[in-house]
This record gives sequence, C-alpha cells and structure tokens, in this order.
Amino acid sequence: MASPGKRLLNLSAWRYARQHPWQSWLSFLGIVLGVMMVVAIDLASSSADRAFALAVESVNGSITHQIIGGDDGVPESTYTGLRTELGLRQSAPSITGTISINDKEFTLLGQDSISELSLQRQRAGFTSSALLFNPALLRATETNPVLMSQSAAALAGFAAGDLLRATTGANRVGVTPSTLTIELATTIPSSDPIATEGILYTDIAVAQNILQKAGFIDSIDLILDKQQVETVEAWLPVGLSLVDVDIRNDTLNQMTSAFHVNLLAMSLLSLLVAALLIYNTVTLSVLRREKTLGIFRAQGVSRTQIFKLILSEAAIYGTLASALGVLLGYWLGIALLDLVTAAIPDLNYRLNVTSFLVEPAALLLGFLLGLGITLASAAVPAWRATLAQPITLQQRAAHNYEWRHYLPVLSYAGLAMLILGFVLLQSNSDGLISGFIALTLIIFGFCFVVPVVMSCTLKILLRLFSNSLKLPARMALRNIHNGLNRTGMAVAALTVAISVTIGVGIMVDSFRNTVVIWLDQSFAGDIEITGANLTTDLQIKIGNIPGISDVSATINTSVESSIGQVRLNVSDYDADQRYYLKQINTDDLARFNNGEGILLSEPLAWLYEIDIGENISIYTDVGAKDFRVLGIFYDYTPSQGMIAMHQSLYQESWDKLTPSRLTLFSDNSNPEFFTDVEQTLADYEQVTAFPNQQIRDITLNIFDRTFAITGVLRVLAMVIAFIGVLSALMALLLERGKEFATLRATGMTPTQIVKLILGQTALMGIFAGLLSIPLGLIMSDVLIDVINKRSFGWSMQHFFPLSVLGDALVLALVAALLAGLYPAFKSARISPALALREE
Amino acid sequence: MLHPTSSLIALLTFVALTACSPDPQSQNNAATFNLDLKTLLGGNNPDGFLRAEAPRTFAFPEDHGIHPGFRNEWWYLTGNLETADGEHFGYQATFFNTSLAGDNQTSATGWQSPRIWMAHVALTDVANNEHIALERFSRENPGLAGAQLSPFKVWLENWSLQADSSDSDTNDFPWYLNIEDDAFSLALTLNPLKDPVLQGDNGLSQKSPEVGNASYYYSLTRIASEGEIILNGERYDVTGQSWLDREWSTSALAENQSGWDWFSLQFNDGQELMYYQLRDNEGFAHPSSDGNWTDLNAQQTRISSEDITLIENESWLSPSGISYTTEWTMQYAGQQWIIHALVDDQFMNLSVPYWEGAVEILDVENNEYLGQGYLEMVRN
Repeated sequence: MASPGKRLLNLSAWRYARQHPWQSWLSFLGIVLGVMMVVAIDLASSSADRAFALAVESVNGSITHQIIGGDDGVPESTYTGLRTELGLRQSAPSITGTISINDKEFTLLGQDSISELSLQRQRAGFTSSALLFNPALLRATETNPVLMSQSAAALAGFAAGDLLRATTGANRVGVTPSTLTIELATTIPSSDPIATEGILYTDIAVAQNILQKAGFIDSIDLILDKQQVETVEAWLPVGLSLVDVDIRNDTLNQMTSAFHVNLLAMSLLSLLVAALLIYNTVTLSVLRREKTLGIFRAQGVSRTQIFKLILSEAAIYGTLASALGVLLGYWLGIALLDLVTAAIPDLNYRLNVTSFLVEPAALLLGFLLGLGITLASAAVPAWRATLAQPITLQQRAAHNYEWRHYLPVLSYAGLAMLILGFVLLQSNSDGLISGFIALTLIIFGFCFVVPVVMSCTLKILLRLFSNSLKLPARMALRNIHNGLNRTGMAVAALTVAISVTIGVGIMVDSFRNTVVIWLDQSFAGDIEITGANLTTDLQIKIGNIPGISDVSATINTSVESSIGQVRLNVSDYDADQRYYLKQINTDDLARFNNGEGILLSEPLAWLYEIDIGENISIYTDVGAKDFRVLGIFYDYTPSQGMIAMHQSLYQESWDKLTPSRLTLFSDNSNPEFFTDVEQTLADYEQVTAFPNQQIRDITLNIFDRTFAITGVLRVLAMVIAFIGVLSALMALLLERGKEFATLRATGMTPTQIVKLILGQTALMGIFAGLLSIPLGLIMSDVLIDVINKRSFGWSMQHFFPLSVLGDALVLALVAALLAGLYPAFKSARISPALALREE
Repeated sequence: MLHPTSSLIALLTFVALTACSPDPQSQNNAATFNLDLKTLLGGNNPDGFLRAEAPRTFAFPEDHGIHPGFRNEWWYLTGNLETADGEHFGYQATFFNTSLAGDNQTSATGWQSPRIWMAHVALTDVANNEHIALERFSRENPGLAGAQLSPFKVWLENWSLQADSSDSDTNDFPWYLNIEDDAFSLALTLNPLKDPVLQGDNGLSQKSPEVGNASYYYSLTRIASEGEIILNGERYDVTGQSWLDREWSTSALAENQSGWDWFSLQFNDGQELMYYQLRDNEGFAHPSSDGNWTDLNAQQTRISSEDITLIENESWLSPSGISYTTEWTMQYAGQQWIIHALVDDQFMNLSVPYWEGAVEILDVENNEYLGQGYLEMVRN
C-alpha cells in the first residue's frame, strides 16, 4: 500500500486540532502569555534603563562631579562660597523636582543661566547654548516663568504664554503639597525631542519658589580635574559630599539592572511553566492519535515523517503564538513601563517614561524564545512517537508502562540538578548570573522529582488506606498514579507557578518588614530637625519646649578613608537604640558606646569585604587614624554605604561639631509640641522640622511603589499556571472519557462521576499546593540570601507569613477544581452507549 | 565714560525685557551678542528707572557705593605699572552692573537678583607684546556679586575691589584690588593722590542732546598703586599709577551716534587729561564729545570738541576687519602730543569686542616721554 501523502498527513493534523480545540487553544494561550511576559518585561526594563540614562544626560549633562547634601540639600551659601572663596568657575547650582500639571507629572529643572555660561556643560537635547543663556530665564519671578522645548510643549498640549496650575510637594518630607500658577514663557527648538520631553526649564530662583526649597539647592554641578577635586574636598562644609557622577550613576545602573534581571528571571519562570504546558499538550496529542499514527506507520510512513509532522504542528502553533505573544508583550510593556520605572531608585526628578523605546532585538528574542521552547518541548513526545513499533503505538497501556520505566532516570536527573543547584549556591561566587543558574537548576530538578514524589506518596496512601477507602477514592488515587506522565507534569507546572508566588511573596514581605524595623530603629523619636545652622543656642531653646523629653544630635558628614570617600554618621545614641544591628556581640556593643570603634553599614561591609575586627583608616582633622570595626548594621538607603561612630569617639579627632540633624523625643504631655517646635524654628533660617511618621510613610510608599511590578508579575504567573493546570487536567480527563462511560454503564451515577473527577483534581491541587511550599521557601531563601544580596548588598530578615502558605494551598486547590469542572460535567453527561460505541 | 561694556549690560536688559517674543536666531547663538549698539543704548524703555537729568551734589564715600534706581553702573580701573627693572604692564579691571527693572528697591531673597554683574579684566605685558583679556558674569544673589559700603566692597565671585576687610566699618583708602584667575593674578593696594574729579557739568555728563541721555560721572585721576602680578608662574612686584572712572546712568546714546574714542592721560608733571570723542554714523566727531583738564590741585578746565584736534596716524586691523587707531596726534591748547599704543593688539575680544589698552604720551617735536595713560576705542 502506498504511504499517505504529505497532504494527507497535514490534513489529519488539522482535523485533530479542529476536533480538540480546547487543548490547542490552551497550549496556544500558554505560549502567548509566556512570550508576552518575557517581551513586556524586557522592553519595559530596557526602556526604563534608557530613559534613566537619557534623563541623566538631559538633567545633569556633561558634568564630572556633584556636591550633594543631607536631607534638605545643599545650602545655597555653599555655592556662593565655592565661587567667591575658591573661584571655581566650572560650577552651577541645580534644583530638580517633580510637579504635576493636569495630573501629569513633569520634571522641573532650575538652573542659573549665568553660571551655566562658565560651566559650559552639554545637555542632551540642546546642541547649542540655547539653554545656557535664555533671556526668558532671567525675568522677574512673580509669574513663575518656565520654558519647554517646542516638541515637549506640543506633546503636553501647552503653548507659549499659557498659565498652568502646578501641584508640588507631593511625596516630599517636610513639605505640604500646594498648587500655584506657572507661566510657560516661551518654547525653544531642541535637537532631541525625547531627551527634553516632560522637562520644564526655569530659573533657579523660580524653581526654589515653586518647589518650596528656600535657602537650599539640590546640587552643585561641577566639571573638575583631579587637583580641583582635592581642593573642593578639603574645603567642603560638614554634612556635604562631593560625588563622582560616573561612579554614582554606575551604582544606580547596577542596582537598576539587578532589579531588571530579577524581573526578567520571573518572566522566564513563567515561560518555563508555559514550556511544561506545551510538553503536556503535545504529549497528549501524540497519545490521542496513537491509533492514527500507528496506522500511518503501518502504511509505511517513516519515523522522520512522523517526527516532522508532530514538530511542524508545534512549529505552526509556536510561530503563531509567539508572534501574538510579541505583539501583546509590546502592549503589556507599555502598560508596565510606569511600574518598572517606579522601581528605579528615587532620582529627585521624574523619568521621562512616556517614550517607549522598542528594541527590535527584544522582539525577535521573545519570538525565538517562544518558538524554540515550543519546539524543544514538543521534540520529546515527537521523538517518542517515532521510537515505538507500529503495533505498540496502538497500545496505550504499554506506552504508560514504558514511561514509568523512565521515571527513575528522570528522578535521578532531578536529584542531580537539585544537588548541583545547591552546590552552586554555596560557592563563593558573587555573580548574579550564577545565582540565577542555580535557581533554574533547583526549579528544574524539583519539577523532575515531582512525579516520583507523587508516585511514592500515592503508593503509600494506597497501601495504608486501601481497605478503608471507598472505591471511587481508590480509583481517583490510582488514576493519578497511572497517568503520572501527564498528571506529574501538570502538578509540576502548578507547583512551579505557585512556588513563584510564595517565593516572591515571602521575599517582598520580608523586605518590607525589615525596612519597617529599620525605619523604626533609624528614625526613632518623634520629630527630626535638619538644617545648616543647628546652633547650640537653638538646641537649648528646643530642649526647653514643653513636652520634649530628649534631644539627640546627629552629624552627617563624609570622610576620606582607606576605602575611599564614605558617609559618616555620628550620634550620641547607644548603638542598639540608633541602628538596626545585624551583627555585633555584647562586648563590642559596649565598646562602641564607649567610643572604642565603629560600625559599618551592611552594603559597605559587603562591597569591600570587610569583617568585624578589621581596621579602617580614616582621615581625621588630626591626621589619618585607624578605627576598629565592631559590628555591622542594616542600611537600606540607596547610597554606597555608611560608617557609624559614637559622638565621644568623633570628638577626639574632629573639630566640626555642628550637628546636621536633631531628633526630638516627646513625652506626650504636650499635644501641640510640633507647632511649638515650628514656632521656635521660625526665628532661624534654613532649618526645617518634620514629623518622623512622615519619613516612615513616604519611605514605605516608595517601597510599595518599587515592588508594585512584582505583584503584577505574580498575578500573570498565576494566570499562566492556571491555564497550564486547566489544560493538563482537561486533557487527562477528556482522554478517559471512555473509562467514565464504562463506569456509567456499570452503574455509577453522574454525581459519582463528578465527585470522582473533582476529587482527583482536588488531590492534584493539594499535591501542587503542598509541593510548592518547600520549593517556594527555597526560592525565597535564594531570592533573599543570594539574589538580593548579590544585587544590592542588602540582606533582610526572613518572615514567614502563614497567609502566603495558606494562599498557595487555596490557590492550587481552586485552580485544580476549576480545571476539573468542565471535564467532570462533560463526563457525567456523556451517554455511555454513544461513548462506548466508538470503541 | 561710556564704556563699551555698558552696551552689553544694556543688551542684557534688552533681552530680558523682550523675552516674550524672542527671536529664535538670537537664541541659538545666545552666547554671542550681535545686536546693534544704537538700539541698545538709545534709551530703550527707561520707564521705572531714574535718569541723569540735572546736576547733583556728590558726597563721599557714599557715592563710591551703588546707586539703585539707575539701570547701569560701573567701577572702572585702568593703570600703568612697572617693576624695579623697568618691565612695563598695563591693566584694566572693571565691575559693571545692570538692573533688570527700575523698581528694584524691594528686597530680593534667595536667588532672586535685581541686578546682573559683569567684570572685564585685562593685562598687557609690554615686553612680551602680550595682552590677556578675561570676562565674567554673575547674578547678584545669593552674594555672588555686588557692591556695598561699610566696608566698601565691589565684587564678582573672587574678583574684588575693597577697603580693609578686617575693619567692618571702613570705606577709607587704601583700597585693595584682587584678581585671581588661571591666566594671571593681580593684587594691588590703591591710594588716590587727588580728590575726585567731577566730569562734565559738575558730574552730569551729557552724551546726547535729549534730556536724561546722560550719566553721573566722576574720576579718581591719579591713584598710587603697588602690588604684585603673577603671570606664567612668575611673580612681578610692581608700582605705578591707576585711574578710576565711576559712572551711573539709565540711557545715553542718540540715534545718530555710534562708537567713541576715550583717552585718560596722566602727564609726568602731575596733570591729567580726560577726553572722549563720540562718533556720529559717518565716523566724525559728535558735538557732545567732552573732556576735562585736571591740574596739580585737581582744578579742572572743561574741554569741548572745538578745543581739541585728533589726527589718526597708524592703525591696527582686528580679526573681524575693524580698524583701530594705535597712534594719534592730539592738539590741545597750543600743545601737540603723540599718543602711542604700547602694544598694537590690546583688543578685548569678549562678548562685545572693543580695543582698550595702555598708551604712552610723547612730545611731537623730540619724542620725549611725557606720560602714560589708557585709550579705549569702540567701533560699531
């Protein structure tokens, strides 16, 4: 007999797809969603990165250094000193802030046009000196004149001469939001519409007025050579620091890209779930067509042709689904852009995120990833379809048996991957990539082990309860066991998906809780007062306000040390009251409080690999001195690191004693004490007070904004997992239609069939839920102790919110039960005669 | 006198006032100011500013300080210095301010600045035929530039002219000039040898016929100067004589005027001559040209354009093709002198280009050295 033509083979595949639209659509959807997530995250992250780089270029321009200050910024008198005492002319003051107009956010950039003339920096968007010396920026300040690039104004819908209502001060410590009128005085041509988008340029006096920063500027921007750096550092007033812009931006970049790698890893996990889904679907399509394929083989169709047939089916699915995934990913990327950008460390100015930058490479990569994973997942079942003889292909039981034959191999492979993953984690490598490879190995290993764990558990259950269980329950257990090649994969997919939600949930929760503790510890007290002139006289007056039980002074400064320039935090607190200590023993704690050594912030100790007991050399007012490291404290400020020192030790070696911060403690006897404090401060210039609660609220607000994206990804991962389990279970159950028909024919009621099926899926859900807990915990450990540590140098306390575990179980159960509903009712309603007649 | 840089100050005012309808072309080249002097100094929008309309009573040291309400004001030092070895240097150090609005009496806070400041500094090294010109701008606040009394101080960043800073009340001489820059440094102690000379009509210096197109103008015509110059890593101890011009005004030039030549001459016999020749659009002397002869006792004789004859002998061509006269013959009251530039190229190639430099006075008959001075030429 002549073998069927290629056209016939294709026709048969097409008819199969037509007859089983559910499976086809679900696996199609799985690929679409997986690709969509990868593409969206990739595009959104790279857009945010480029927006960040561009913003640095638009706002900072070609400067080499910046002088930055404490909580309030840099006193403007510092700039006067820099110009009149040092005569440093490549310098300019800068104020940046965010204002919102018609509920849209804009960056307000305040500059002194005349200082810009001598600084001569290049800012992205302006090839000429158009911005350097714009007359509109020299006008009187009553109307708050600002200017924009022509393209930016057009985009925002503004025209020169427009009076705009702007709201400022939202989300800033010590500032009450207020609304005022600003005038778009003029628009100017720009060479780069994207670089100038969303930026309002104005005179520094106007910016100070709009942003309520009287007396302070945000930074002094400088172009310095090496010798000038030394001059400035020697001259710099206490509380201010000189930062190398490139180094600072590198650090920010590293943190940002580490965060993006985290996000991308999460989206890849989703694709992994999708891969399991595809594997499952293709396996099923092979199983369901065993007879047809066997007949084809018997008619002389070659193995290669069968392999090609199965793979080309997958290729068509993969191509269409990946293409759709890329398209949807593009849109989702736009939607996620705001969330991804929110995760970039706070920059004082708003990133221009409206411009979504599409990289063709990211689109292509997403497409190839989707197609590749589809083909790879389909290759195993396709290969197996070709292996067996024509006759065995027709024997499903033999196929299942053969699969069980592979189980030990799979399990050992999984175990090996788990061990390798853990070994990799223990290694001393600092690399983020090796961390992710380890995590991937652990997840894969765990997936491979899932079937054997299920098999053992089911065997034990059957042996223990075989007498006490009713027939339908026993049947449910056995059904799962017999169909392990599919149920195993379905449970593994669900396990991975749910473990992602557990792992990320625990990580975010732990992080947040740690930050809360750190905030409480670092911002003890009720009111903070900051400013350049916290004189003794002021301190005494503050201390006399009724209701104040204690006033504590903190000096924030920056010092040169053997590990470069670092921030130094000096206070008269005992260490355990001021810092959130990570590592210190009782003796060393006493030593610190006696002024016999210093503490390092965790990121600093991590970055320079400094251990307790080592010495750090710091340049003091009386020359270089060695200081012993007594302990490590947690610090989550986005700076490079910090050294803590007791005031008694500081006084031995430094002359500058004016504090940069006062912390007031209330004894709650005077309800009006904040007002009293503000009234006392009214006599002093450049001093501000704000309640500590405000700092805590704003910090947590920023934290929640940063991690909002992970919440979205968790939900998306869940959706994919749900589709996975739905597809796997439906496939499993629909395939057994005939069995259920037989059961109906032998006397089972439809209700009993529904119970049987739902019981079976519920059990699988429970399996997945339970198995996801250890995997989720491992994942959270890896995320907390390895990934975040390697990305940011931050470690955090582990918190195990029971609710996360409960949620996981409920989630798994609900997903499994929902997936079982349609097959259950379909099987229950099936006419036994009709179903059996097919046989 | 009407120093050329005042045109820049006026220009700042002009652009500030017309900011609502900016010309895109000028914005793209905003650092290069190429506007017509006449439109700038023609008294644009004097509303709100005080004007020099009638003679006033001068009082010192108060008048050494700033005069709010006028648009422009400057402190203009020039001088000739010599080392013990006879090495000759010329210098110029000037502080200008312009107010952005007439009603600037209200106290400004923070960065709000009622005035913008500019300084020009130049050094001529005669032996090496070298001339260096520097320029700085600054807004006034917060304390970046300004002028004050008690103690007297005029400054722009780390360039300053001030009385003894350790005495918080003094406006007395000596004053100290401190100029620091990468290109050179100049530190001088200044002691005037004569009382202030009121120029024009008792200090009212009419620049064009319209009432108010004038300035209040006085000079310290001979100031003993001593100090040091640091140039190319070398230090020179110098002594010599300087000249200070003080002038404040709101508007000056008329439609038919463009450019001028200004002489400040110090004769070895202890007398001085100041004369400015305003030029009309055809390059001829304008009738408003004016000057003053100061004798040993600071007694003055006014010089009108009819009293004096200026003949152009030699000239130097600037890179932009403008001709500046580097040797003149001056005839006044029966005397005849050659005014000769010590270096041809003392061109101030700054925001507004002009020629300003050290000159020597020679006897026409025998080339005898009669004195020294400064010459300024503005061509538009």
